Amino acid sequence: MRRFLNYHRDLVALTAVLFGVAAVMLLLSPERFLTPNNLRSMAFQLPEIGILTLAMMVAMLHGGINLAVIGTANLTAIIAALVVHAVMPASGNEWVAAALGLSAGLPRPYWLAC
Amino acid sequence: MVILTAWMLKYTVLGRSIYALGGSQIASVRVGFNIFKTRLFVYSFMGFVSGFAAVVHTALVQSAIPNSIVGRELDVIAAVVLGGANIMGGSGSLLGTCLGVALLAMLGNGLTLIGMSSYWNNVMVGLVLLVGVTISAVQRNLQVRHRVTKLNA
Repeated sequence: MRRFLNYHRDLVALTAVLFGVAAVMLLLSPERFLTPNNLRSMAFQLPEIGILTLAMMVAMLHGGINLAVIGTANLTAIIAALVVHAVMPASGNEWVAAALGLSAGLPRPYWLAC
Repeated sequence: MVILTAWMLKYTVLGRSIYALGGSQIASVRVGFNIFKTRLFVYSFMGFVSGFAAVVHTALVQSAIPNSIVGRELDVIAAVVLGGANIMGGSGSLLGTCLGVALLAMLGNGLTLIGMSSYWNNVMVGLVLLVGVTISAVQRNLQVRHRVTKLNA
């Protein structure tokens, strides 16, 4: 346990900061921060930015950066919406969108000098 | 999806090759990783995941808008860096990234609740980013110095 904590010191620090921020928010607006409505709105904002962050993290891990995630996501959203409008039975439409995103991401390494 | 990515990064050759490429490109070529294939995978994976994000966003706002999330790049990068990932590549974990996202979301929401104008949101994101990067850089410097003194002793 001790070794784990030592090894992941930055994670522990981050958790501490997280709880610190939560405590400060609780102190500053105790009647509004921990209400179900607020938690629900936070849960609404989290997923999209979380998923985008997942994408960005993998690119950063390998030493690059890709600012076009947003552009890719927007393009994919539009095309997916068009596809769904054209083909009404909407089941499996998230896979269409994921495939579109994949095809948008594919040519990128060709542009990079390898 | 997060769990799948964590597994991929930690326990497959592909994931380790991503870390290796971030750590040192020349070394990973010498070891025998195929840089082109790794890059191909990384950027395709990004496209795949952002496609998913697009669907989630469309489902949440119930309309597809061409410029709805323009400008969120900074938030995304801030979350990654806050999570302890090195901007130059080679280190970072998924758990840290999740914590970074949670911290940023809580900060943005809380500031609005306190009554700060939403214009200040970006300022706070920048501030947090600055502080996080500074702390991690100082820590790394200290670690390196510690190791050097150990070697000299």
